[in-house]
Order: sequence, then C-alpha cells, then structure tokens
Amino acid sequence: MPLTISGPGVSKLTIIDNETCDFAGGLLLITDSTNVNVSGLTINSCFAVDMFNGSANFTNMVFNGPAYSIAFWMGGGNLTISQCTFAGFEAAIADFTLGGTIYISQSTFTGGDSALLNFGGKMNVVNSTISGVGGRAIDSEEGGTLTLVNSTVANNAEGIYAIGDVVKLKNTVLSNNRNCTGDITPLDRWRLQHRYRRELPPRRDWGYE
Amino acid sequence: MSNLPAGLASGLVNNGGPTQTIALILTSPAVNAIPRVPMKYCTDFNGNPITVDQRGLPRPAGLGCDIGGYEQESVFDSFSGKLQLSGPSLFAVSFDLTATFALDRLSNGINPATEVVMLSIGTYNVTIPAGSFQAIHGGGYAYQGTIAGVALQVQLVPQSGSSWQLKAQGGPANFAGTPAGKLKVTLIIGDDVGSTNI
Repeated sequence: MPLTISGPGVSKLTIIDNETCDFAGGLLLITDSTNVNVSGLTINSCFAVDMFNGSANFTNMVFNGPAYSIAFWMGGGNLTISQCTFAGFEAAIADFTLGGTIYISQSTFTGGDSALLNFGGKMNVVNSTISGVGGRAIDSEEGGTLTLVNSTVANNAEGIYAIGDVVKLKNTVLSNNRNCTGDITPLDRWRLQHRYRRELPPRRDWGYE
Repeated sequence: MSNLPAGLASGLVNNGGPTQTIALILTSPAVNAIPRVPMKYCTDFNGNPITVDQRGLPRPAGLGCDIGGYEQESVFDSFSGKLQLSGPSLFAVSFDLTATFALDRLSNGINPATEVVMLSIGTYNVTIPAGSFQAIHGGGYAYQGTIAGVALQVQLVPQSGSSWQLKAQGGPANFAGTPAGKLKVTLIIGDDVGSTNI
C-alpha cells in the first residue's frame, strides 16, 4: 500500500531520534514492494531509512546525523532523492543493493565522513554538490555504476574513489579534494562494517572473508 | 577534461533554491564552458537536456552551460532601494521593499511571467514559481498570494532602458537569525540576479 508523508517544511517540523547509533534501526523501514513518498520535513537520526524493496521518493528534506550514522541504508529497491540536504553522516547514502537504482538531484551533502557509498548499485547524481566531507566524498565499488552530471565535488578530504566500477562524469567540477587517489584495503572494508554495527546484506564476494 | 582552477566561490552558502550551493566566480573557466550547440552537450548521459541548475534556475544562462551544479547568472549592473520592517518579533516581520535595478548589458532580458522569481531579505527567502506573475495594465507584472504562510504582493515594472522597479510587501515573515545592521537583499529572476545591502 502506498505511503505518503507530506511535512509542512524543513524548518517547521523536525523528527528527532535519540537512539544511540550502536543500536538504532531505521526510523522508516521499507520492506514491501510499495511506493513511499516523503517530503517537507527534517530528520535528525542515526539511521533515517532502511530500504530493502519497492520504490521511494524523498523531496525537499533535511537529514542530520551524528558520528557512525547512515541516512539511507539501501539493501534493495529504487530510491529517488531530490532537493535534500544531508549533513554530518558517516555515510549519507549507503547502497549495498548490487543492482538497485538511486537517482539524486538538486541535493547537497556536507560534513561527516562520506556522502555516497555505492557497492554494486546504479547511482546517478545530477545537479548536486558534495562539499566539506571529512573522508571520501564518494566510494564506489563492487561493479556498480556511478554517473555524475552537472555536479560539484569540492573541498572534501577525498574526492571520488572507485574500484571495479563504471564511473562516468559529465560537466562536473572536481576541485580541491585533497586526495583523489585514495586506496582501500580489506581492513578498511572490515572497519566499515564494524563501525556501522550493522549486518550487511548477503554478498557474492567480500574478498576478505 | 581540464586541470584549470575551477574558480569556485568560497564554500557552501545559500545562493537561492532549496539547498546550499557553491557559486562560480565570474572569471571561472567553468562558466559557459559547455556550448549550447550541439544540444547534446548540455544533457545527461541519456541525452535528456539539463534545463535547470541545482537551485532550479534556468540552464543554460548566457552563451552556454556552466560546469558543475551552479549556473552563473547575469548580474545586475545596479541594485538599490529602501526597506521598512515592522512587527512584534523577528519571527513575524512585515516588510515593505522598494528598489530599482538595471540588468547586465549582456542579459537577454527578463520575463517575470514565465521565469522563476526568488527574493531573499536577510534570512527570509521566497521562491515564486514560474508562471505566477500576471501582466498588469500599464506595463509590468504582479504577483499576489501566500507562500509558506507569508502573504506577498510583488510588482516588477519596467523603467527606462534596462532598468526595472521592484515593489515587494509581505508578512508575517520569519527573519530569525538575521544579523543586525544593513540587510542583504537578493533578487533572482530567471538567470538574472542582483544583491545589495539595504
């Protein structure tokens, strides 16, 4: 059954989830093959959305997260993000779908440790900005596809890190990312999983197991 | 691919639109770097035209599309006016703004009836969607309505040459967080923009 939540505006309604990030689940859990539309509010939470199925549209929203937080944990489904701001997350959007699709437009990612993690999915970023991220702005691995069009990736600790992926950039600014050639090791990946305190979806090949 | 300095303005700020962006400086090599013709250049990877920037303002503006999320507009040659504020608190301010501005000499003009109009005064900002303004008798365009709880009356009337007069009244608007002293006023009409401190 479709679900629609229309808030009054990002400055007028804020949902605050005070659970610690060690134990928190997603504020919104999407497991059915349904359609979810959410707009016009602010969410302060360790894990705003866990998505495993269906399709979801989030428009005109603000997501704020503390350390060790992920706004969108994607285990499946198709996600559309438009006119949203993400600030302070360990990873704003983490896609482990191995085939799901994420479309991001007119959105800004800032602060935190990483903006986008794309492990095997299809991630399309248009008219968006990633700036002021303390780690990798984008980490794309596991044979996924990453496209950026008319976007700005600037002033981050690291820019785009991709291994084993198809990466396409068009009309996109990459500027002042202090290290654009970072490496990744099995230890890094283990640390990633450990820090999020989450069980990742079944993987075809983790490489380090 | 270019290794030239991108020519970005300093950091994320509110340049209009729903999210913060990093502007391009006027001399940035990213400005107009993507030619309008053939049209396939100002598109996504599926060939769909990219007709707005991150803020929702028209792309391309000027001779071509800009690189990045921000499309540099034509900047007003001049922008000045007077502003009156009143109200019981910064959360419920009525404003009365009268200003004149002159378009950049390279501007292709404005059409308030078909373009997005954005106005910010201090921390208050409003976006009036394209198609909201109506032509008024004697010339010019007017909008009257309520956006996000703020009742607005806005008029844009052409003057001599490339000059226009702006009249904007509204309230109750939230000015919380607006610094003391002169207020920064920004007006964006399509791909033309100007800011002034009043």
